[in-house]
Parts: sequence; structure tokens; C-alpha cells
Amino acid sequence: MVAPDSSRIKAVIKEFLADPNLTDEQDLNHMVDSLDLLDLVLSVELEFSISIFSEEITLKNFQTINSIASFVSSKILEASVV
Amino acid sequence: MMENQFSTSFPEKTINDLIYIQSRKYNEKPFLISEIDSKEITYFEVDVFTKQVAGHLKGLGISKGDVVGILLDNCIEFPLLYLGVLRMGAVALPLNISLKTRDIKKLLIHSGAKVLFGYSRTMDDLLQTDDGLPQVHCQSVESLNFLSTESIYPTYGDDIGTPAFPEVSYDDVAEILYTSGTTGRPKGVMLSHRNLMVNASDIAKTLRLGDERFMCILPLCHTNGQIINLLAPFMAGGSVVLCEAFSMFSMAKFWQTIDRFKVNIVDVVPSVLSILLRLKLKQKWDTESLKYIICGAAPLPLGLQKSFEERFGHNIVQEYGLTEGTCVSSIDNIGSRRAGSVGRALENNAIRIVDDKGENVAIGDMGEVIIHGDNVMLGYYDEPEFTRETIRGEWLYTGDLGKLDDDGYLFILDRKKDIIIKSGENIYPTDIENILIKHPEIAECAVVGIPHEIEGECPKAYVVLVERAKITAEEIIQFCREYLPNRWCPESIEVVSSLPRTASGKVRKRELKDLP
Repeated sequence: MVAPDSSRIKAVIKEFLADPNLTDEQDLNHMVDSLDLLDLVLSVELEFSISIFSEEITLKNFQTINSIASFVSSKILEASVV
Repeated sequence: MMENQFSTSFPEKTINDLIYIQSRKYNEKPFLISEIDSKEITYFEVDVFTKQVAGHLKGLGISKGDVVGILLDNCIEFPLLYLGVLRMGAVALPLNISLKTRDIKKLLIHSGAKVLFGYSRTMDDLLQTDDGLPQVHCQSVESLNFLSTESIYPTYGDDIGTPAFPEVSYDDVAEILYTSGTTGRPKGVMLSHRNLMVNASDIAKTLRLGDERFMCILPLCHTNGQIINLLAPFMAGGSVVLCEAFSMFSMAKFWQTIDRFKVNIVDVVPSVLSILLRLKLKQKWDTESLKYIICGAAPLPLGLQKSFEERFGHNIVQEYGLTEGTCVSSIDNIGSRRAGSVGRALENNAIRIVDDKGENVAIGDMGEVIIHGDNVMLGYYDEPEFTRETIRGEWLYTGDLGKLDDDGYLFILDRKKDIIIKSGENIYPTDIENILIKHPEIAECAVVGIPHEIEGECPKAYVVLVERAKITAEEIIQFCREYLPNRWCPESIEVVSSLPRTASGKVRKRELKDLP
């Protein structure tokens, strides 16, 4: 099992969000609109070969760059186990 | 068990009368349910709490005809404040929370609002602007406790020993809804109690509403949120599950929420259907309770409708309307849908298709859609000239191009007005162009709507730069973001050497739209 590289995940997210001023703990709720969030989900799915389900798109998993990275990391681990 | 016996009409009744009647008829039955915390507000509590809102406003010096702003997301307080304002004859001013602070301020000043209810964070932003908001009393919703049975607010209205509500007439202004106004002149659609009551009643009758449970994922600051999701179910004795509007999180748990609250009807815009088609579901939710999905505010591509219905097995009912016509002018009828049509005219609403001279065109021919009836707005606030241009001889010229078939089914084909409809939201290209042209490196510009798979349409800007300009497309978008709501900013910028123009100098936008 390969441990996911958290900095790479964050880099992908930051590149997508395209805002150099965003910090890892900044609340993204109300900053990222619904379609951007959908595009982000589709981008990380493609980038890390994972499947994100509707039920997993929650505020808890997508509130900050850190929480998204942590969630994506767990999905990568889950996929590698399967 | 579903009642499905919509038999109540409310001739010449105001919102205050409606609340009085329904709260006594349905009493302890839940009307509002918060998706977030499952908190319920009964019909009886709607009566009590809206009277407290009215009493509170009276204490603030608000009287009949005064404008009261509401700047909130879809929370329980929104409908109670909205209905409370209407009950006491004041004028509600629902504002879109996604607008920039300076634009909210502009609308508050234009409308002459005296009080604004909003979240404390928004209030702080507003008060921190250059000259604050000296003429508006800002009240944070967090500081209100009218949802408590131990409320400090006096009631107002029909209770013994309390002052009576001012007499409100059926044709008094109930609310002002701004359809534009960032950089151009704000256009505040004035709707009367008649407009709201008749349109909501017509929708409820046509859909034969009874005690159905609605799920409201459209913003309550928009007419669809207020009329279809709030007043129509209230008139029919139904209930409403309030969800965060246009939030990805609401959409991600769309089916889950339907299952959890046994929702019967949901009102959406086409982009919501596109998003739902793209999301993967982990488990199968029980959505048997769902009777149909209402879709409107923007054109629904037939392919999207078919794909959605095939995948999820739920029928879509299309409606057509505009804020100037209160909300809905035509709607599909269950069991008699016609492919590609937005249904037939509501009972108190007539639809004609006319040519440029205002004469009827032949059945099946394309022309401008014009509507007449009790749902047609009173006019634009403080804009008599613009009102006269839009309402001619009691007919509202919609700017939409369509046709009617032999049976009166309406088909919307194109748009006459220069408007981009992005996920149901009207965006005026001139608002964007007026910002772009302020940039010193932009010599000319034109904004058009280009097709977007999910949102229906998105703004694209064509710009001619001044000599030796160095600005990039990304910098132009960033410049727009400083002045416009993010959702209005162009998705793409194309630098061109010149814009196609007519002999009189008008930009040929059709030509730009047809570019690959």
C-alpha cells in the first residue's frame, strides 16, 4: 500500500482553485460555487483514479483544502486496498 | 394520505388574510421544516411569529408602504420575516446574498429601504463600506428571538388588545424584486398582493396541490422560491423542507433528502438536473414519495429532460415565466405533457404570440410572447418610462420568442432581449460590458451568452484592446470579479481585432454567438 502524497493532493486542489491567497485552513464554503465544486470533484477523480460518491460530497469533506486533501487521501488508500 | 383536493381560492385576499385563514385551518400541522436541523414551524406558529415580526417592525417605526430588506440564505427566518413584512403592509425587498456588498448597498439606497435583516457578517461588511448605510436600520438575524415562545416582541394584528394591522389593499405593493442593477439602472419589479395571491393560487390549482411536501432548494430571494415553494404549498395546506439554496451539498444529498423527508415535489432549474446526472450515487435511496419535479427559470433541453427521466424514473413538469409576470405564466399539466413545450397558460393569465407591430401571428408561427393577467407586475420601481416600454396596453412584452400550437401549448424558441440565462439567473450583458469598458486597456467589448452543458448559458466576452495593451484574459476576468458577482463574470475572453457591426454601428451579437 502506497501512502498518498498529501502535498501533491494539495497542489492539485490549489491549482484547480487558482487563488494564490487561499490558505490550507480557509473555509471554502460560500467561496466556491456549486459548479466549481463539482468540477473539483471530477478533477480529483480523474487525477487520482478514485470515485467520489454523491453522499461523500459533504461540508466536512470539502470545507478546507486540508479537509479535501485528507478525504482524497483516504479515497486513494481505499482504492489501493480494493 | 394525500388530500389532493385543492378547492380553496382566496378572492381579493391579501397575504395577511391568507395567513389568518390557513393558520386556523391547519393549526398544528407543520409548514416549514429545516433540512439542517429538522426544526419544524407549524401553520399556527407562522401566524404567531409573523405577527411578532410585524410587531417588531412597528416598534422600529416601520409602517405601511415602507421597504424592508431581507438578505438571507434559505433559513427558517427568511419566510417568517418575508411574510411578517407583507402582513403589516410593508414592502419586502428580498436580496440575493451572492451580490457584492456595494451592489446590495446600491439596491437598498435605490429602494429607500428603512430596515435590513441579514446575517451579522453581512451587516458588518455593509456598515464598513465608505459611508456606511446611515438611512437603513441593520438588524442581524442572530439577534432576533421571535422564534422563541418566550419572545420579547409584542404581537400585532388580530389578537385582543393589540393594535390592528393597517388596512392593506389587494393592489398595494407587496414586494420589490430586483432583476438587475449592478452597473446599469436597477430594475425593481413591483409585485402586488394580487400578483402573489393569484399566481400562487393558479399554480396550486393547475397542479391540483393538496398536502404535498415540497423540497425548496431554490433561493427564497427569487420569485420561484417564494411563489412555487412557499405560497403555493401554503395555500394548499402543504409543507416545505428548506434546504441551502444552490449549494453543492444540498444537491449531493438531493435523493437522500427526498427519502429522509418523504418529499413529494421539488422545484429546480435545468442546471440542477445536469449536476444530478453527473453525480454518482453510493446507495439507492427510496424516492417513491416523489411525484414529479418542476423545472423552470431557464430553457430545459429536451435531451437533458429525457436523460434525467430515463435514469431516475421521475417525470419533469416544465414551467415558464418571468419575475415581471410574478413567477409562472404557463406550466405543464401532469398527464398531458407535450414534448418541448412549457405547457399552457395558467387560469388567470393569457398568452399571445405577436409580431413587431403587436399583431397576433398565425398558430405555429414564431413571434414575441406577451402575457396579460393578474400576475403582471405593477411596474418597475421608479422607472415609469421603462415600465411603459415593457407593459403596453395591459400586455407584458416578455422579450421571449415562442409559438403556440393548436391546443394552446407554448414553446419557447429564442430570446429577443439581450439577456444571458445562467442556471435560471438573468445576466444582462450590458452590466458586464459597462465594467469591461472601464479598463484602460480595453477599447471595445461585447458580451454574449454561449451554450454551457450544465448552466445552459455562460457569458463570453469579446474584447478589442488598445494599442500596446499587455493585459491577459485571466487579468480581465479578475478585473470583472472586483466589480461583479463571480457568477456574472465571463467564463472566457477572446481578444479580437474588431467587433462585427451593423451599418448603424450596433454590434452584431448573433454573429459573435455563431463563432466556433
